[in-house]
Amino acid sequence: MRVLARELRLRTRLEPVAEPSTVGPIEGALFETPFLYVAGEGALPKLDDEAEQNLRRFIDLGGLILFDAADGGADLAFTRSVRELLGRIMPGSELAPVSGEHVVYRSFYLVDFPFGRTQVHDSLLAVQEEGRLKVMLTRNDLGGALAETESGLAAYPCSPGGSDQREWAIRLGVNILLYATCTDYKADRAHVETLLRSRRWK
Amino acid sequence: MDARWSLAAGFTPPWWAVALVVLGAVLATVEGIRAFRSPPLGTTRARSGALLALRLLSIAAVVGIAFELTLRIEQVSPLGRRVVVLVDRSASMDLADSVDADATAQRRQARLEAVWARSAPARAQWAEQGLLVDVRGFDLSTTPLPAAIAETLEGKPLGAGSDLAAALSELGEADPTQRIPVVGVVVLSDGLVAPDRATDQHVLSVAEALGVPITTVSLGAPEIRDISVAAVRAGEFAFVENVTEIEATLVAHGFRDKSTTVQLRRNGEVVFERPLVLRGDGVPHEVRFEVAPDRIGQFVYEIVIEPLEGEATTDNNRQAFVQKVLRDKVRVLHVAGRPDWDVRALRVLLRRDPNVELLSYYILRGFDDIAREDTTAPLSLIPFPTDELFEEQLGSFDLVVLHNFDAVQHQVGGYVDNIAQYVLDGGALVMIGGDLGLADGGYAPRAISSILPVDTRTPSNNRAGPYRPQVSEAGRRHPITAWLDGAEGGWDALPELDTFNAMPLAPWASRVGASVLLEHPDDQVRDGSAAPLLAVAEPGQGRVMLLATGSTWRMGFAPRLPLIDGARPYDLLWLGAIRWLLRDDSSGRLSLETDKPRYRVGETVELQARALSAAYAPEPDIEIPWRLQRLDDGPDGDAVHEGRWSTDAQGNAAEALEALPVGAYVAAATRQLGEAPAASVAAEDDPGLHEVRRVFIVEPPGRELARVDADPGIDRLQRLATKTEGAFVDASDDEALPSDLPTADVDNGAGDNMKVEGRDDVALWNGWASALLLLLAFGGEWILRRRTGLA
Repeated sequence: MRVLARELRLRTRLEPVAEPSTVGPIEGALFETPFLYVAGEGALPKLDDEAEQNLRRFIDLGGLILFDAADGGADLAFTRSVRELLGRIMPGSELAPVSGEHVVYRSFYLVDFPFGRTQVHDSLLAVQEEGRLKVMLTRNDLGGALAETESGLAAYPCSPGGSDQREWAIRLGVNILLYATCTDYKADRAHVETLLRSRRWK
Repeated sequence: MDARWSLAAGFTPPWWAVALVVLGAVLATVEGIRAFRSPPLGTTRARSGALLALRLLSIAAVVGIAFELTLRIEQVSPLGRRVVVLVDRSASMDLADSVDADATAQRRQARLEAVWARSAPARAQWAEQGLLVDVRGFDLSTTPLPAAIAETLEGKPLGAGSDLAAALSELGEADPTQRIPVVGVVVLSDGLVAPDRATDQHVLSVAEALGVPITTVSLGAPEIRDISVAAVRAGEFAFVENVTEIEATLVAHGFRDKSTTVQLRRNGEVVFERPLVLRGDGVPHEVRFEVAPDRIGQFVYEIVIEPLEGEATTDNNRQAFVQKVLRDKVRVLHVAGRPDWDVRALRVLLRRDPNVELLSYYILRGFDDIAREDTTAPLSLIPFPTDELFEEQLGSFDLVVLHNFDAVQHQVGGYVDNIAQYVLDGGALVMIGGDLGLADGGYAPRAISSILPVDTRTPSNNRAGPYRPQVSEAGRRHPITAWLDGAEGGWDALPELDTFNAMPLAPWASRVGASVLLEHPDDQVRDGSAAPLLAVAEPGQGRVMLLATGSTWRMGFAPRLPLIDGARPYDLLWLGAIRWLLRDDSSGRLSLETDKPRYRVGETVELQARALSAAYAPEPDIEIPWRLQRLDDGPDGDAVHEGRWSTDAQGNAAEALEALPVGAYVAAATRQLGEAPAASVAAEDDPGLHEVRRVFIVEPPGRELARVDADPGIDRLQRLATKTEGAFVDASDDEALPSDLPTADVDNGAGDNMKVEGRDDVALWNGWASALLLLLAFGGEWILRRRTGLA
């Protein structure tokens, strides 16, 4: 997230805090921003009722949770436990693939694949209700693609696309944050018409 | 005078007692008759007859006493016979028509007076026949005519309609003050007494139920020259910028192939005009107009046909109606200097409202970002159409939100004059603070700064740090923040805000009607007063809200966020703000209302004004000049009424307007917001002068003049006479009423038709005579039976 925050400041007018805060699910600090990034490998730790209620309230008030499977598609445990968690805090809601036409793929960059450290899965998963994405799940280890060492080098190689794939992963991260702050702004008629015109012209 | 005798019972015993008395009387009578027919041996015929007579006398005495019988002797005389004459007093009687195209047209009322005068000999004959004549006028109700008018039937018919069925029904109802029976009815009318077949049938049913002959006199003639607006169909509501249809049915008589024009007028101004070539008599012309109202409000629309020479009346050439134009969708322009959580929260709120058409432009990258741009990266960004938004389309928006927007950086600095003018012309503007918009001096130019409630001439720093705003006295009553007063714990229960642009109240605050609703709790401006956080102003015709923070999103996203009446505080704040900015009915500082949008002529029109202070408290002692004009006279027309109100302690003022003639009117009231301008400033240039208007119409008595054709009326009156065995008289043929008027037979000897002049009741059951009779009858029979050896 620190790298993504830096890239957002460099590429966009977003001004995220330089040092993202780490919060627990039962702390008031959870509500410091309406965007929560949860990355992990393997099953999620067991949450108590208060924590799950807090997450439900976070979503109900308009928050967006981005789950990022750090396994990059090698293990289904994280994805499975995210589904189980959502089954408890959002009964009746299902994680479903996000269409390639969704505005999250064009909220800043025009992106056509959910790149991460890997390219195993060809779609983002999300709970889409009330006209917005409430929960997203990236399964190609987005965080791993963005991660850097102390010296500023890529922490993990992106496979199979290398640095280009890393760039696309950064662009996807930028898009997700732009979607979080502007929602479906780029789906507005004025933008769609302008974009269609420019594509035809090209 | 005759005497009428009858027996009356003064007491009715219970049924079983009646049965007992009757049974006893029957048995006693039967036994007496049997004894008379088969007398015992040795009894003479005369003695048997005497015994039977005494038995019957005893029975009569018992019955008389048991039922307290009274002998009633009445002096009676015949009641007489009455003829009711119903005279049509509706407005259609004032129309002129003729028997053919070459004849001179004559008013139906004149024809009425003539036929009545011609019928004077017949009326004299009726009197000789003992008929009493009761003359009544009818329109929508029935009124007895004074003797002087009943003699000539002169007068101006003004009734809103002709309800003959009601007039006939009244005759069928029992009238305790009138015992002389109705034996006949005369109806003098043009026959336009039923607008449809169902009413027509109803009139006939009521007439037949009355049970007396109805003689009808038709006063209309078949040839009429007139064109009328027969009907108008339009919705009570329309939506701004949406096409609405207005349809009218026009009917002409006697003007085949003539040309005229039909207009649609709005508040007296012609909106559309169409030529019209008239077809045959009574053939309806359907005219349709499509209108897209360009602004909200209440409007008087009118269909007007240009009068043609020789029309029977021009009163039916126009028909007005009131239509309220509502906002369909609010067009909102949301421009943000950068995406952040505050932008997101407001966007979500605006997008959620189906009545909002949102156009958003968010600056997603700055010039330094562009400099670092990877030129190969495919972007979804589009150019910021400054010219289109702030030059060409600005006026089409109901609300412009500049959300932490640094105008100068994005070539909008040159358009701030346009934005200011947009507000002065009636637009609504919201400026939201942050690190960009109010911090770079972009709103320092006089044109824009002079309409704002706070002083933006010097850049303000965006300070960070948590605080809880204070609600000002004005804020407690203002529709944007009044809900905070009802929240438990006020702002203490709400989340803290964390950014603030400190700016002082503008020196010209009072001139633009500025009001501070929320203040920073600690921050003070130069004069030591609390720094405004949320301030509003009403420059010119528009409204402005300035919010010196970009952190109100926290009012909608917090742990343990209190809900107020089920809503998030953020939603309450912004929905209240939008309502006020868009001048929802509840948010004006001067309102003018009428108690209804349309009145019948003669009704009192009530004008009511209400003044509220900038803090939305009732404002007493406010001078409100007002005037009433006819819409047809245009804005420069003379005032029909005018005056000056001073509001009472509740901020109210009212005026009752009596006796307004038929027409469309506009009432206008004004008040000064902020300080009064210098005397040299013309009223129309005074941005602080707030004017409100209300239109209404005063309608003619009814729509009867929309139906002018006499033919259906003549047929109807003929049928009425035939059905009830009355006579039919056509006044247009110079006929007169018959001397031998068809009437119902009345049996003058029957009880109900006799008038009682005197009455004498003789009690048969009390007093010594009845007791003696009972004693003699019973005692006589007993003595006689003993003497004959029967007892």
